Amino acid sequence: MNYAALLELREPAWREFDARLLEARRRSHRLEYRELEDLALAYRQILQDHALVSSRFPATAAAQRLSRLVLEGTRWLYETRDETPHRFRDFWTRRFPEAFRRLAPNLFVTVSLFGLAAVFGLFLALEQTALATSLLPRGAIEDLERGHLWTESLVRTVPPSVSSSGIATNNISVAIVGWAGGALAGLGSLYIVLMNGFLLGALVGVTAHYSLAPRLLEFVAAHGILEITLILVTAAAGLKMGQALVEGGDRPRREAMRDAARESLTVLGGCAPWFVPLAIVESLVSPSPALPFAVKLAAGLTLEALFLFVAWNPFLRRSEA
Amino acid sequence: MLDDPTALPSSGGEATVLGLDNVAVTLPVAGVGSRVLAAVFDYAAQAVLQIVWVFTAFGSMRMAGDRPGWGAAVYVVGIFVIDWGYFSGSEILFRQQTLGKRIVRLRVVTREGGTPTVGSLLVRNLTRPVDLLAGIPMIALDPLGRRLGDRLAGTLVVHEEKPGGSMLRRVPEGWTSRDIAAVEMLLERSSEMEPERVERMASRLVGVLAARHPEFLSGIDRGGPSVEVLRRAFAAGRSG
Repeated sequence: MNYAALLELREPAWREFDARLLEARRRSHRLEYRELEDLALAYRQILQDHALVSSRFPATAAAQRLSRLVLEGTRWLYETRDETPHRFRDFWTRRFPEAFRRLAPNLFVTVSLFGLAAVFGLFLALEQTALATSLLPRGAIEDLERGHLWTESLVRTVPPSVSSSGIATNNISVAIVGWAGGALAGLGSLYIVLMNGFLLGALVGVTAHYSLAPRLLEFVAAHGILEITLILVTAAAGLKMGQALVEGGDRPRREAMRDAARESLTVLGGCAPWFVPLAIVESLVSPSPALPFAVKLAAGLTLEALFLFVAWNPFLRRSEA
Repeated sequence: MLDDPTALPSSGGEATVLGLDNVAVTLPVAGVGSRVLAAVFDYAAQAVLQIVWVFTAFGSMRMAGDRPGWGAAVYVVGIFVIDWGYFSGSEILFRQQTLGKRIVRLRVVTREGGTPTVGSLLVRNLTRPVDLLAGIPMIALDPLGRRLGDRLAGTLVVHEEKPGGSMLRRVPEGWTSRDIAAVEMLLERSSEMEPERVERMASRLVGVLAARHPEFLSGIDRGGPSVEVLRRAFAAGRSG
Protein backbone atom coordinates (compact mmCIF):
# COMPACT_ATOMS: atom_id res chain seq x y z
CA MET A 1 0.00 0.00 0.00
CA ASN A 2 1.38 3.40 -0.91
CA TYR A 3 1.31 6.47 1.29
CA ALA A 4 -1.49 8.37 -0.44
CA ALA A 5 -3.75 5.30 -0.61
CA LEU A 6 -3.16 4.65 3.08
CA LEU A 7 -4.12 8.23 3.93
CA GLU A 8 -7.28 8.02 1.87
CA LEU A 9 -8.27 4.81 3.58
CA ARG A 10 -7.35 5.55 7.19
CA GLU A 11 -7.22 9.32 7.66
CA PRO A 12 -10.98 9.70 8.26
CA ALA A 13 -10.62 7.30 11.22
CA TRP A 14 -7.75 9.36 12.63
CA ARG A 15 -9.77 12.55 12.26
CA GLU A 16 -12.75 10.91 13.97
CA PHE A 17 -10.59 9.65 16.85
CA ASP A 18 -9.14 13.14 17.31
CA ALA A 19 -12.65 14.64 17.45
CA ARG A 20 -13.91 11.95 19.84
CA LEU A 21 -10.96 12.44 22.13
CA LEU A 22 -11.55 16.19 22.21
CA GLU A 23 -15.22 15.66 22.98
CA ALA A 24 -14.43 13.08 25.66
CA ARG A 25 -11.98 15.47 27.31
CA ARG A 26 -14.59 18.23 27.29
CA ARG A 27 -17.23 16.17 29.10
CA SER A 28 -15.21 13.42 30.77
CA HIS A 29 -17.55 13.18 33.77
CA ARG A 30 -20.67 12.77 31.64
CA LEU A 31 -19.28 10.14 29.28
CA GLU A 32 -21.44 7.04 28.84
CA TYR A 33 -19.98 3.57 29.04
CA ARG A 34 -20.75 2.90 25.37
CA GLU A 35 -18.89 6.04 24.27
CA LEU A 36 -15.88 5.10 26.35
CA GLU A 37 -15.87 1.57 24.92
CA ASP A 38 -16.02 2.94 21.37
CA LEU A 39 -13.16 5.29 22.14
CA ALA A 40 -11.05 2.46 23.55
CA LEU A 41 -11.73 0.38 20.41
CA ALA A 42 -10.79 3.28 18.15
CA TYR A 43 -7.63 3.77 20.27
CA ARG A 44 -6.54 0.19 19.53
CA GLN A 45 -7.02 0.81 15.82
CA ILE A 46 -4.90 3.94 16.13
CA LEU A 47 -2.20 1.90 17.87
CA GLN A 48 -2.20 -0.55 14.95
CA ASP A 49 -2.00 2.27 12.39
CA HIS A 50 0.79 3.87 14.42
CA ALA A 51 2.78 0.62 14.38
CA LEU A 52 2.28 0.22 10.62
CA VAL A 53 3.02 3.82 9.64
CA SER A 54 6.03 4.21 11.93
CA SER A 55 7.66 1.15 10.36
CA ARG A 56 6.61 1.73 6.69
CA PHE A 57 6.62 5.54 6.55
CA PRO A 58 8.79 6.78 9.45
CA ALA A 59 9.32 10.51 9.99
CA THR A 60 6.43 11.47 7.70
CA ALA A 61 3.63 13.84 8.75
CA ALA A 62 1.29 10.83 9.04
CA ALA A 63 3.70 9.12 11.45
CA GLN A 64 3.92 12.32 13.53
CA ARG A 65 0.18 12.73 13.61
CA LEU A 66 -0.38 9.13 14.71
CA SER A 67 2.33 9.46 17.33
CA ARG A 68 0.49 12.47 18.78
CA LEU A 69 -2.85 10.64 18.70
CA VAL A 70 -1.35 7.60 20.46
CA LEU A 71 0.21 9.79 23.14
CA GLU A 72 -2.94 11.79 23.76
CA GLY A 73 -5.13 8.69 23.69
CA THR A 74 -2.85 6.85 26.11
CA ARG A 75 -2.67 9.82 28.43
CA TRP A 76 -6.42 10.28 28.50
CA LEU A 77 -7.54 6.65 28.58
CA TYR A 78 -4.96 5.55 31.14
CA GLU A 79 -5.65 8.18 33.73
CA THR A 80 -4.81 6.31 36.91
CA ARG A 81 -6.41 7.74 40.01
CA ASP A 82 -5.29 7.52 43.60
CA GLU A 83 -7.08 4.79 45.46
CA THR A 84 -9.20 7.11 47.59
CA PRO A 85 -8.02 10.64 46.94
CA HIS A 86 -10.81 12.53 48.62
CA ARG A 87 -11.69 10.32 51.56
CA PHE A 88 -10.34 12.26 54.47
CA ARG A 89 -11.63 9.78 57.03
CA ASP A 90 -10.25 6.77 55.18
CA PHE A 91 -6.82 8.37 55.13
CA TRP A 92 -6.67 8.95 58.89
CA THR A 93 -8.38 5.72 60.00
CA ARG A 94 -6.90 3.20 57.55
CA ARG A 95 -4.23 4.31 55.10
CA PHE A 96 -2.04 6.32 57.44
CA PRO A 97 -2.16 3.79 60.35
CA GLU A 98 -1.47 0.90 57.95
CA ALA A 99 1.53 2.69 56.47
CA PHE A 100 2.73 3.70 59.96
CA ARG A 101 2.53 0.12 61.26
CA ARG A 102 4.49 -1.21 58.30
CA LEU A 103 7.17 1.34 59.15
CA ALA A 104 7.97 -0.22 62.56
CA PRO A 105 11.36 -1.81 61.61
CA ASN A 106 12.60 1.45 60.03
CA LEU A 107 11.33 3.41 63.02
CA PHE A 108 13.31 1.13 65.31
CA VAL A 109 16.44 1.98 63.29
CA THR A 110 15.87 5.75 63.37
CA VAL A 111 15.01 5.79 67.10
CA SER A 112 18.11 3.72 67.94
CA LEU A 113 20.43 5.86 65.84
CA PHE A 114 18.91 9.04 67.26
CA GLY A 115 19.47 7.74 70.80
CA LEU A 116 23.08 6.79 70.06
CA ALA A 117 23.80 10.17 68.46
CA ALA A 118 22.20 12.00 71.41
CA VAL A 119 24.29 10.06 73.94
CA PHE A 120 27.42 10.76 71.87
CA GLY A 121 26.55 14.47 71.67
CA LEU A 122 25.91 14.59 75.43
CA PHE A 123 29.21 12.95 76.33
CA LEU A 124 31.11 15.09 73.87
CA ALA A 125 29.58 18.24 75.36
CA LEU A 126 30.37 17.13 78.90
CA GLU A 127 33.94 16.07 78.09
CA GLN A 128 34.86 18.67 75.46
CA THR A 129 32.63 21.62 76.39
CA ALA A 130 34.60 24.13 74.31
CA LEU A 131 34.11 22.03 71.18
CA ALA A 132 30.39 21.60 71.81
CA THR A 133 30.00 25.30 72.64
CA SER A 134 31.36 26.17 69.19
CA LEU A 135 28.15 24.69 67.76
CA LEU A 136 26.15 27.60 69.20
CA PRO A 137 26.22 31.18 67.88
CA ARG A 138 28.08 33.82 69.90
CA GLY A 139 24.86 35.50 71.09
CA ALA A 140 23.53 32.24 72.48
CA ILE A 141 26.74 31.66 74.47
CA GLU A 142 26.50 35.20 75.89
CA ASP A 143 22.91 34.46 76.95
CA LEU A 144 24.03 31.24 78.65
CA GLU A 145 26.85 33.08 80.46
CA ARG A 146 24.25 35.58 81.77
CA GLY A 147 22.14 32.65 83.01
CA HIS A 148 19.50 32.75 80.26
CA LEU A 149 18.54 30.35 77.50
CA TRP A 150 18.85 31.79 73.98
CA THR A 151 15.23 30.74 73.39
CA GLU A 152 14.01 33.35 75.87
CA SER A 153 15.29 36.33 73.88
CA LEU A 154 13.86 34.78 70.74
CA VAL A 155 10.30 34.67 72.05
CA ARG A 156 10.59 38.09 73.69
CA THR A 157 11.45 39.83 70.42
CA VAL A 158 9.22 37.97 67.95
CA PRO A 159 5.39 37.96 68.12
CA PRO A 160 3.92 34.45 68.72
CA SER A 161 2.08 34.51 65.36
CA VAL A 162 5.39 35.00 63.52
CA SER A 163 7.38 32.55 65.60
CA SER A 164 4.74 29.81 65.35
CA SER A 165 4.38 30.15 61.56
CA GLY A 166 8.17 30.25 61.21
CA ILE A 167 8.61 27.21 63.45
CA ALA A 168 5.87 25.22 61.69
CA THR A 169 7.14 25.92 58.15
CA ASN A 170 10.75 25.27 59.19
CA ASN A 171 9.88 21.96 60.86
CA ILE A 172 7.77 20.82 57.91
CA SER A 173 10.67 21.70 55.59
CA VAL A 174 13.08 19.68 57.75
CA ALA A 175 10.65 16.75 57.73
CA ILE A 176 10.26 16.90 53.92
CA VAL A 177 14.03 17.15 53.40
CA GLY A 178 14.57 14.25 55.82
CA TRP A 179 11.97 12.23 53.94
CA ALA A 180 13.23 13.18 50.48
CA GLY A 181 16.82 12.56 51.57
CA GLY A 182 15.84 8.92 51.95
CA ALA A 183 15.78 8.74 48.16
CA LEU A 184 19.61 9.00 48.26
CA ALA A 185 19.83 5.36 49.37
CA GLY A 186 18.64 6.47 52.82
CA LEU A 187 21.67 8.69 53.43
CA GLY A 188 19.73 11.99 53.68
CA SER A 189 17.32 10.56 56.26
CA LEU A 190 20.15 9.09 58.31
CA TYR A 191 21.94 12.46 58.26
CA ILE A 192 18.85 14.25 59.61
CA VAL A 193 18.38 11.63 62.36
CA LEU A 194 22.02 11.59 63.45
CA MET A 195 22.40 15.38 63.28
CA ASN A 196 19.24 16.04 65.31
CA GLY A 197 20.21 13.43 67.91
CA PHE A 198 23.75 14.77 68.19
CA LEU A 199 22.59 18.39 68.48
CA LEU A 200 20.01 17.59 71.16
CA GLY A 201 22.58 15.68 73.22
CA ALA A 202 25.21 18.38 72.74
CA LEU A 203 22.77 21.18 73.68
CA VAL A 204 21.73 19.38 76.86
CA GLY A 205 25.43 18.92 77.67
CA VAL A 206 26.31 22.56 77.04
CA THR A 207 23.37 23.86 79.06
CA ALA A 208 24.30 21.41 81.83
CA HIS A 209 27.74 23.04 81.88
CA TYR A 210 26.06 26.38 82.61
CA SER A 211 23.63 24.69 85.08
CA LEU A 212 20.72 25.48 82.73
CA ALA A 213 19.86 21.95 81.55
CA PRO A 214 16.65 21.79 83.64
CA ARG A 215 15.52 25.07 82.01
CA LEU A 216 16.19 23.63 78.53
CA LEU A 217 14.32 20.43 79.35
CA GLU A 218 11.44 22.51 80.69
CA PHE A 219 11.45 24.52 77.46
CA VAL A 220 11.32 21.43 75.21
CA ALA A 221 8.97 19.36 77.40
CA ALA A 222 5.76 20.61 75.77
CA HIS A 223 6.76 20.37 72.11
CA GLY A 224 10.04 18.44 71.95
CA ILE A 225 8.68 14.92 72.41
CA LEU A 226 6.29 15.05 69.46
CA GLU A 227 8.66 17.15 67.35
CA ILE A 228 11.39 14.53 67.64
CA THR A 229 8.86 11.74 67.05
CA LEU A 230 7.65 13.38 63.83
CA ILE A 231 11.18 13.92 62.55
CA LEU A 232 12.04 10.29 63.30
CA VAL A 233 8.85 8.95 61.68
CA THR A 234 9.29 10.98 58.48
CA ALA A 235 12.97 10.00 58.33
CA ALA A 236 11.95 6.34 58.76
CA ALA A 237 9.55 6.80 55.84
CA GLY A 238 12.41 8.25 53.77
CA LEU A 239 14.58 5.32 54.78
CA LYS A 240 11.95 3.01 53.34
CA MET A 241 12.38 4.67 49.92
CA GLY A 242 16.14 4.30 50.17
CA GLN A 243 15.75 0.66 51.15
CA ALA A 244 13.63 -0.05 48.04
CA LEU A 245 16.23 1.73 45.90
CA VAL A 246 19.08 -0.41 47.20
CA GLU A 247 17.26 -3.70 47.54
CA GLY A 248 13.95 -4.26 45.79
CA GLY A 249 13.27 -7.66 47.37
CA ASP A 250 11.32 -10.25 45.37
CA ARG A 251 9.69 -7.65 43.14
CA PRO A 252 11.22 -5.60 40.32
CA ARG A 253 13.02 -2.60 41.81
CA ARG A 254 10.85 -0.25 39.73
CA GLU A 255 7.67 -1.51 41.47
CA ALA A 256 9.30 -1.69 44.90
CA MET A 257 10.48 1.95 44.61
CA ARG A 258 7.11 3.18 43.42
CA ASP A 259 5.23 1.43 46.25
CA ALA A 260 7.73 2.56 48.88
CA ALA A 261 7.48 6.17 47.65
CA ARG A 262 3.68 6.06 47.71
CA GLU A 263 3.53 4.56 51.18
CA SER A 264 6.15 6.87 52.61
CA LEU A 265 4.29 9.84 51.13
CA THR A 266 1.22 8.69 53.06
CA VAL A 267 3.28 8.75 56.26
CA LEU A 268 4.63 12.21 55.43
CA GLY A 269 1.06 13.40 54.76
CA GLY A 270 -0.03 11.98 58.12
CA CYS A 271 2.81 13.68 59.99
CA ALA A 272 2.96 17.13 58.36
CA PRO A 273 -0.29 18.57 59.79
CA TRP A 274 0.90 17.87 63.35
CA PHE A 275 3.62 20.45 62.98
CA VAL A 276 1.01 23.23 63.02
CA PRO A 277 -0.41 22.68 66.56
CA LEU A 278 3.11 21.79 67.63
CA ALA A 279 4.41 25.19 66.50
CA ILE A 280 1.63 26.97 68.37
CA VAL A 281 2.58 25.05 71.53
CA GLU A 282 6.25 25.83 70.93
CA SER A 283 5.68 29.55 70.64
CA LEU A 284 2.98 29.95 73.34
CA VAL A 285 3.25 27.14 75.90
CA SER A 286 6.97 26.20 75.89
CA PRO A 287 8.42 29.67 76.67
CA SER A 288 5.66 30.66 79.11
CA PRO A 289 7.15 31.34 82.58
CA ALA A 290 3.65 31.20 84.08
CA LEU A 291 3.23 27.49 83.34
CA PRO A 292 4.97 24.98 85.63
CA PHE A 293 7.16 22.17 84.25
CA ALA A 294 4.54 19.54 85.13
CA VAL A 295 1.91 21.24 82.96
CA LYS A 296 4.31 21.53 80.04
CA LEU A 297 5.34 17.90 80.36
CA ALA A 298 1.69 16.84 80.57
CA ALA A 299 0.95 18.86 77.41
CA GLY A 300 3.89 17.23 75.62
CA LEU A 301 2.90 13.71 76.66
CA THR A 302 -0.73 14.34 75.72
CA LEU A 303 0.27 15.53 72.24
CA GLU A 304 2.54 12.52 71.82
CA ALA A 305 -0.16 10.09 72.98
CA LEU A 306 -2.68 11.71 70.63
CA PHE A 307 -0.35 11.35 67.65
CA LEU A 308 0.52 7.73 68.47
CA PHE A 309 -3.17 6.94 68.94
CA VAL A 310 -4.02 8.34 65.49
CA ALA A 311 -0.95 6.82 63.84
CA TRP A 312 -1.35 3.35 65.35
CA ASN A 313 -5.17 3.35 65.43
CA PRO A 314 -5.89 0.50 67.86
CA PHE A 315 -9.32 -0.01 66.27
CA LEU A 316 -7.88 -0.71 62.83
CA ARG A 317 -8.04 -4.51 62.87
CA ARG A 318 -11.40 -4.62 64.61
CA SER A 319 -13.05 -2.24 62.17
CA GLU A 320 -11.63 -4.17 59.19
CA ALA A 321 -12.94 -7.46 60.53
CA MET B 1 21.50 -0.87 39.93
CA LEU B 2 18.80 1.13 38.17
CA ASP B 3 18.38 -0.86 34.94
CA ASP B 4 14.91 -0.94 33.49
CA PRO B 5 14.28 -4.13 31.54
CA THR B 6 11.03 -2.95 29.97
CA ALA B 7 12.56 0.11 28.30
CA LEU B 8 13.22 -0.92 24.71
CA PRO B 9 16.17 0.36 22.68
CA SER B 10 15.75 4.02 21.94
CA SER B 11 17.02 6.35 19.27
CA GLY B 12 17.57 10.10 19.41
CA GLY B 13 15.17 11.76 21.84
CA GLU B 14 12.67 8.96 21.73
CA ALA B 15 12.13 5.95 23.93
CA THR B 16 9.91 3.02 23.23
CA VAL B 17 8.15 1.58 26.24
CA LEU B 18 5.62 -1.18 26.57
CA GLY B 19 2.28 0.47 27.20
CA LEU B 20 -0.47 -0.95 29.39
CA ASP B 21 -1.79 -2.98 26.41
CA ASN B 22 1.69 -4.45 25.89
CA VAL B 23 1.84 -2.43 22.70
CA ALA B 24 5.09 -0.60 22.03
CA VAL B 25 4.49 3.14 22.45
CA THR B 26 7.10 5.62 21.27
CA LEU B 27 7.49 8.46 23.74
CA PRO B 28 9.35 11.63 22.74
CA VAL B 29 11.34 11.78 25.97
CA ALA B 30 12.62 15.21 26.98
CA GLY B 31 16.39 15.47 27.35
CA VAL B 32 18.56 17.51 29.71
CA GLY B 33 18.47 20.68 27.57
CA SER B 34 14.70 21.10 27.43
CA ARG B 35 14.28 20.01 31.06
CA VAL B 36 16.82 22.55 32.28
CA LEU B 37 15.27 25.27 30.09
CA ALA B 38 11.82 24.55 31.55
CA ALA B 39 13.31 24.59 35.05
CA VAL B 40 14.93 28.00 34.39
CA PHE B 41 11.50 29.42 33.42
CA ASP B 42 9.93 27.81 36.48
CA TYR B 43 12.50 29.09 38.96
CA ALA B 44 12.14 32.56 37.41
CA ALA B 45 8.34 32.32 37.80
CA GLN B 46 8.78 31.15 41.38
CA ALA B 47 11.06 34.12 42.10
CA VAL B 48 8.49 36.52 40.59
CA LEU B 49 5.74 34.97 42.73
CA GLN B 50 7.88 35.37 45.82
CA ILE B 51 8.64 39.02 45.03
CA VAL B 52 4.92 39.71 44.46
CA TRP B 53 4.18 37.93 47.73
CA VAL B 54 6.76 40.02 49.62
CA PHE B 55 5.12 43.25 48.42
CA THR B 56 1.61 41.94 49.13
CA ALA B 57 2.52 40.77 52.63
CA PHE B 58 4.36 43.98 53.53
CA GLY B 59 1.47 46.01 52.15
CA SER B 60 -0.94 44.07 54.35
CA MET B 61 1.40 44.54 57.33
CA ARG B 62 1.24 48.32 56.90
CA MET B 63 -2.54 48.13 56.64
CA ALA B 64 -2.73 45.89 59.74
CA GLY B 65 -1.42 48.83 61.79
CA ASP B 66 -0.90 47.76 65.41
CA ARG B 67 -1.07 44.03 64.65
CA PRO B 68 1.71 43.60 62.09
CA GLY B 69 2.61 40.14 63.47
CA TRP B 70 -0.18 38.51 61.50
CA GLY B 71 1.02 40.04 58.24
CA ALA B 72 4.49 38.63 58.89
CA ALA B 73 2.99 35.24 59.71
CA VAL B 74 1.03 35.22 56.45
CA TYR B 75 4.21 36.22 54.63
CA VAL B 76 6.15 33.28 56.15
CA VAL B 77 3.41 30.78 55.26
CA GLY B 78 3.08 32.18 51.73
CA ILE B 79 6.80 31.86 51.03
CA PHE B 80 6.67 28.27 52.31
CA VAL B 81 3.72 27.43 50.04
CA ILE B 82 5.43 28.97 46.98
CA ASP B 83 8.67 27.15 47.83
CA TRP B 84 7.20 23.69 48.25
CA GLY B 85 3.92 23.97 46.39
CA TYR B 86 4.75 25.70 43.10
CA PHE B 87 5.84 22.62 41.15
CA SER B 88 3.41 20.10 42.67
CA GLY B 89 0.50 22.53 42.61
CA SER B 90 1.07 23.53 38.99
CA GLU B 91 1.37 19.95 37.78
CA ILE B 92 -1.71 18.85 39.70
CA LEU B 93 -3.88 21.81 38.66
CA PHE B 94 -2.68 22.46 35.09
CA ARG B 95 -2.72 19.01 33.51
CA GLN B 96 0.77 17.83 34.43
CA GLN B 97 2.46 21.04 33.32
CA THR B 98 4.22 23.86 35.11
CA LEU B 99 4.60 27.23 33.41
CA GLY B 100 8.12 26.31 32.26
CA LYS B 101 6.95 22.97 30.85
CA ARG B 102 4.10 24.73 29.08
CA ILE B 103 6.50 27.19 27.41
CA VAL B 104 8.92 24.44 26.36
CA ARG B 105 5.99 22.13 25.50
CA LEU B 106 6.76 19.35 27.95
CA ARG B 107 4.38 17.24 30.00
CA VAL B 108 4.66 14.68 32.80
CA VAL B 109 3.22 11.25 31.99
CA THR B 110 3.40 7.84 33.62
CA ARG B 111 6.00 5.38 32.42
CA GLU B 112 3.32 3.86 30.19
CA GLY B 113 2.31 7.24 28.77
CA GLY B 114 -0.80 7.66 30.94
CA THR B 115 -1.83 10.46 33.32
CA PRO B 116 -0.01 10.27 36.68
CA THR B 117 -1.83 10.27 40.02
CA VAL B 118 -1.74 13.20 42.41
CA GLY B 119 0.45 11.08 44.71
CA SER B 120 2.99 10.49 41.92
CA LEU B 121 3.16 14.21 41.15
CA LEU B 122 3.71 14.98 44.83
CA VAL B 123 6.46 12.37 45.13
CA ARG B 124 8.35 13.61 42.04
CA ASN B 125 8.23 17.21 43.23
CA LEU B 126 8.82 16.83 46.96
CA THR B 127 12.01 14.89 46.19
CA ARG B 128 13.23 17.83 44.09
CA PRO B 129 15.80 19.00 46.73
CA VAL B 130 17.59 15.67 46.31
CA ASP B 131 17.45 15.98 42.54
CA LEU B 132 19.13 19.38 42.71
CA LEU B 133 22.24 17.36 43.61
CA ALA B 134 21.97 14.42 41.25
CA GLY B 135 19.12 15.15 38.84
CA ILE B 136 20.95 16.43 35.75
CA PRO B 137 23.47 13.57 35.44
CA MET B 138 20.66 11.09 36.06
CA ILE B 139 18.54 12.59 33.26
CA ALA B 140 21.56 12.56 30.94
CA LEU B 141 22.48 8.96 31.67
CA ASP B 142 19.03 7.39 31.71
CA PRO B 143 17.57 6.30 28.33
CA LEU B 144 14.15 7.45 29.59
CA GLY B 145 15.52 10.77 30.91
CA ARG B 146 14.36 10.20 34.48
CA ARG B 147 15.69 11.91 37.57
CA LEU B 148 15.39 10.24 40.98
CA GLY B 149 11.94 11.75 41.64
CA ASP B 150 10.68 10.35 38.33
CA ARG B 151 11.94 6.89 39.20
CA LEU B 152 10.23 6.98 42.59
CA ALA B 153 6.99 8.32 41.14
CA GLY B 154 7.06 6.14 38.01
CA THR B 155 6.86 9.15 35.71
CA LEU B 156 8.54 10.50 32.57
CA VAL B 157 8.73 13.96 31.05
CA VAL B 158 7.87 13.95 27.35
CA HIS B 159 7.69 16.52 24.58
CA GLU B 160 4.18 17.45 23.58
CA GLU B 161 3.74 16.26 20.02
CA LYS B 162 3.13 18.92 17.41
CA PRO B 163 -0.23 18.66 15.60
CA GLY B 164 1.57 17.19 12.56
CA GLY B 165 2.07 19.01 9.28
CA SER B 166 0.16 18.69 6.05
CA MET B 167 0.27 15.22 4.53
CA LEU B 168 0.89 14.55 0.83
CA ARG B 169 -2.27 13.43 -0.97
CA ARG B 170 -0.40 12.23 -4.06
CA VAL B 171 2.97 10.54 -4.16
CA PRO B 172 5.00 9.68 -7.28
CA GLU B 173 5.61 5.99 -7.96
CA GLY B 174 8.67 4.59 -6.17
CA TRP B 175 9.10 7.37 -3.61
CA THR B 176 10.46 6.31 -0.22
CA SER B 177 9.31 7.59 3.15
CA ARG B 178 12.45 9.80 3.27
CA ASP B 179 11.40 11.55 0.03
CA ILE B 180 7.85 12.00 1.36
CA ALA B 181 9.09 13.34 4.71
CA ALA B 182 11.47 15.79 2.98
CA VAL B 183 8.71 17.30 0.81
CA GLU B 184 6.24 17.44 3.72
CA MET B 185 8.82 19.23 5.81
CA LEU B 186 9.62 21.73 3.04
CA LEU B 187 5.93 22.56 2.52
CA GLU B 188 5.35 22.77 6.28
CA ARG B 189 8.33 25.00 7.02
CA SER B 190 8.33 27.12 3.86
CA SER B 191 6.68 30.07 5.66
CA GLU B 192 9.46 30.10 8.31
CA MET B 193 12.37 29.88 5.80
CA GLU B 194 14.02 32.52 3.63
CA PRO B 195 11.85 32.90 0.47
CA GLU B 196 14.85 32.67 -1.91
CA ARG B 197 16.02 29.45 -0.29
CA VAL B 198 12.51 27.96 -0.44
CA GLU B 199 12.17 28.93 -4.09
CA ARG B 200 15.57 27.43 -4.95
CA MET B 201 14.75 24.11 -3.25
CA ALA B 202 11.21 23.96 -4.62
CA SER B 203 12.24 24.75 -8.21
CA ARG B 204 14.90 22.03 -8.04
CA LEU B 205 12.22 19.60 -6.85
CA VAL B 206 9.83 20.63 -9.61
CA GLY B 207 12.68 20.07 -12.09
CA VAL B 208 13.35 16.57 -10.75
CA LEU B 209 9.64 15.73 -10.86
CA ALA B 210 9.32 17.03 -14.43
CA ALA B 211 12.32 14.95 -15.51
CA ARG B 212 11.56 11.68 -13.73
CA HIS B 213 7.77 11.73 -13.26
CA PRO B 214 6.38 13.95 -16.04
CA GLU B 215 2.91 12.36 -15.68
CA PHE B 216 2.81 13.53 -12.05
CA LEU B 217 2.82 17.17 -13.07
CA SER B 218 0.47 16.82 -16.02
CA GLY B 219 -2.63 18.94 -15.63
CA ILE B 220 -1.03 20.98 -12.81
CA ASP B 221 -0.89 24.76 -13.25
CA ARG B 222 2.85 25.53 -13.21
CA GLY B 223 2.52 29.28 -12.90
CA GLY B 224 3.64 31.27 -9.84
CA PRO B 225 6.23 30.36 -7.17
CA SER B 226 7.59 26.81 -7.35
CA VAL B 227 6.53 26.03 -3.79
CA GLU B 228 2.92 26.71 -4.80
CA VAL B 229 3.34 24.42 -7.81
CA LEU B 230 4.52 21.69 -5.42
CA ARG B 231 1.61 22.35 -3.09
CA ARG B 232 -0.88 21.98 -5.96
CA ALA B 233 0.86 18.89 -7.36
CA PHE B 234 0.97 16.98 -4.08
CA ALA B 235 -2.52 17.97 -3.01
CA ALA B 236 -4.48 17.30 -6.18
CA GLY B 237 -6.56 14.20 -6.80
CA ARG B 238 -5.31 10.70 -6.08
CA SER B 239 -1.98 8.97 -6.30
CA GLY B 240 -1.11 7.34 -9.60
